[in-house]
Amino acid sequence: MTEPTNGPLVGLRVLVVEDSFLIATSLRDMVAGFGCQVVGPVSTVAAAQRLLGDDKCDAALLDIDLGGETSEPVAATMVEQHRPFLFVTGYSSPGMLSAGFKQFRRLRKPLTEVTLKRAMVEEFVKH
Amino acid sequence: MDLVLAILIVSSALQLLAAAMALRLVRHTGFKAVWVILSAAFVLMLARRLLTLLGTTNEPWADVWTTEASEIMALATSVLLVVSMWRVGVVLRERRLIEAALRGTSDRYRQITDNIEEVFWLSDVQTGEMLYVSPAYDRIWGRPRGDFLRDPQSLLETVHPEDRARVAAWLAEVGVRPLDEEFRIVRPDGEVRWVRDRAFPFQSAPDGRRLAVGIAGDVTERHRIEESLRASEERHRALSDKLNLIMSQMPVVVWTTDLELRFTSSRGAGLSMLHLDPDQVVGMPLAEFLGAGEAGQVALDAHRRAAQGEEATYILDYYGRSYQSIVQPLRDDSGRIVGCIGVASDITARMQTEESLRQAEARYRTLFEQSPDGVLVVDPRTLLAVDFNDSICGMLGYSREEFARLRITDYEAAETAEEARAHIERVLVSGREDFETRLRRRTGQIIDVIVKVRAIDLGGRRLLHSILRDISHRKRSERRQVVMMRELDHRVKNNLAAVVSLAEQSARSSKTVGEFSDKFLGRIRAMAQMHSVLARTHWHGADLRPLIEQILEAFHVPGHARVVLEGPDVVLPAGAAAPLAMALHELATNAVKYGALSVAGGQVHVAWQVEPAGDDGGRVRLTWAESGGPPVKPGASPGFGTELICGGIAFEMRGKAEMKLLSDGLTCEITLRLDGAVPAPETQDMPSGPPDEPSAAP
Repeated sequence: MTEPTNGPLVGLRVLVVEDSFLIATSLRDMVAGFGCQVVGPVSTVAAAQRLLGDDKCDAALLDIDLGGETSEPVAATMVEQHRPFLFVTGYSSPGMLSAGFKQFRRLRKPLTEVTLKRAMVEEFVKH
Repeated sequence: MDLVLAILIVSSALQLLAAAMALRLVRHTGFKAVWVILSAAFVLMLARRLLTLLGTTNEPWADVWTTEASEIMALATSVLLVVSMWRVGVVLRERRLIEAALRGTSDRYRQITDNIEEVFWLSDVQTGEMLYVSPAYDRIWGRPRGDFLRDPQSLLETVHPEDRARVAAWLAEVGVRPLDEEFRIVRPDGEVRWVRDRAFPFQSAPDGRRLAVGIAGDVTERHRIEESLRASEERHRALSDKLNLIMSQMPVVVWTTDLELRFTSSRGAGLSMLHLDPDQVVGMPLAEFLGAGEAGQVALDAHRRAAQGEEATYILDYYGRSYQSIVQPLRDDSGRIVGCIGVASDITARMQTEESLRQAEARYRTLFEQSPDGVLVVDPRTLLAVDFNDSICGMLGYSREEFARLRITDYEAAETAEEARAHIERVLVSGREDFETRLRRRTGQIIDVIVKVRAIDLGGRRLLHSILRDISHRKRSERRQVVMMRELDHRVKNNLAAVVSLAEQSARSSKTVGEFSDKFLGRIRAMAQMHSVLARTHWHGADLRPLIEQILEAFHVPGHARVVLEGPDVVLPAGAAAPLAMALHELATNAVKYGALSVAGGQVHVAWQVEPAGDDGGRVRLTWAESGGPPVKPGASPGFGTELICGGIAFEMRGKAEMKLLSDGLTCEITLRLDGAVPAPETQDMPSGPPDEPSAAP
């Protein structure tokens, strides 16, 4: 897949947090296809936090359920750093999220490139 | 002669006078002989004087009666006279004294008879004449006694008509024998008085007359007293009869005993229940009546205490009935204890009622205590439990003592204290409410309960009666169901996402539709087989051997014997199943297409062993070793297969997969952690770029 050299998302450093290998692979490929620089994917909160601490990313795609933990702490860090992010989840309802995170936009799996790209542009570029 | 004669005449006259006086005196004194002699002497002397005076000197007895004799006679007469005079003086003085004395006595008697309260009367029986009636008559009869004295028969008119006949008969017998009679008289003012009249007949000594003396007294007062006594006695008897009647009908048994504890009376309707008549047991010793036995002993002791002045109560079971008894000392008018008095009421029915109440109470208490639901009665003012069963203590993990000190707000977890109080107020108004809430156990654990509250009035207090049922289990399972539904949704979507990913990856590495179809469908199948293995254990884990068998079964390997599985039974964490299944599928695909399984004589040896548990719960080391395959050609293009083999295991399982191309064929060594816990925070990131070249590719 050839990467575009221009576009709203080109060069954006996007952190991908997803615990499923196959989905992470898919997300990675899609995001790379948008001309973004993929950070990760990582499957744990700790790994993600370390990458955020190193100031290596501009935005993030966060799978909510990381198999035993949620990506809420990562989202909290993103909010602190005033960086945009999108939740990606297999759940239909925001039930798993605590009250403070329910207002954030969630993308539902499975994702199509079109859906993902539109959401990323809307959320990540206006910032 | 004339002078002498004159003197003589005068002297004689004086003598005669003196003699006459003397004679009168003597007569009155009773000296009769003296009087006769003196009288004769005077007659003789008088006759001589007369003869002398008449001049008759020659009378026959003149010789006898000489002058001397006459003088002697006169002297004697004078002497006699003097003596008589002296004697008469003495007699007269005595008589005066006697008369005075007699007069005094008579006056006194008269005074007595005149003044005594009773009427003293004297009558002549034969003539019927009333000789004397004392003045008391006037006072008692209220009439002048003159009427009576004049007409004794008028007495009957004063007698009360009812007594008149009796009195008439009585009067007829006066003088025959002593009589004593009481009768009523009617006074002129109409007042009726009772009179007692006693009469005694006697014979008058001086004249032999038959008299009767009597005393009539006013006994109205006595009669009045007697009457009132009689009336009082009658009243008393009537009262006593009434009391007896009441006593005999009182629904109790009343008895008295003496100090020796023998019955002196027994009364009351309660006796009939014992088939006893009133007073039937009088004289019987109490001990005999009660018989031997502990109950009788208690009753006897109570009587002994009562005889000592104490009040004692006891319940006596006697011939199948129960008696509540009170025994007290029995005292006479002076307050001295003379025995015991007891009252017993039959409380059999009450006891039976109480017993059935007790049983009902016990029954309900058991229902209350043994209820698997918590039962709680709370005072809404204090919020403290008034009563509660053990179930609620067990439900909340408190001892009874601890729970008794807790307020509702101490264990209510879903509402704040203010909310709970407001809630209670609402229930007090509505009277009932069923709701669900959460309570905090002693350990801090929260449980879900369903509460049914009713406002009740108990002993004048408005209380809240609650039944609490722990529905944590149901709630948990409800929540689990919600979680499972969400999880199912999540997994389906994740799986679809994985399928999409597999399709993308397969498409990317395929040159033809046929190749894509083979790769994609093979991978989907491997996922499906992995799921069926997981389903057997309800997603708790995956048995390693069946997993490998399932994956390899899909490959039509000529001659099964060429695949050898060797290792112990081990259950992998559920999360390990997918990456391992994918890896095994890719390895097998590669082997069938290019490796040991592509030629006859090729062999795959799959062996695994469990490494001892360390800090992390142990590992499984699995080796895929191919041999006898075609010669290995280095420089084959990298593909998704390699990434699936290594990346998946590394990314998802914190495992390790190493592939080596030995001269015999491909070898892959996979290490998986067995604890299935959240991976340690060591970074095991997936390569961000396209997968690295495998060290060897078919």
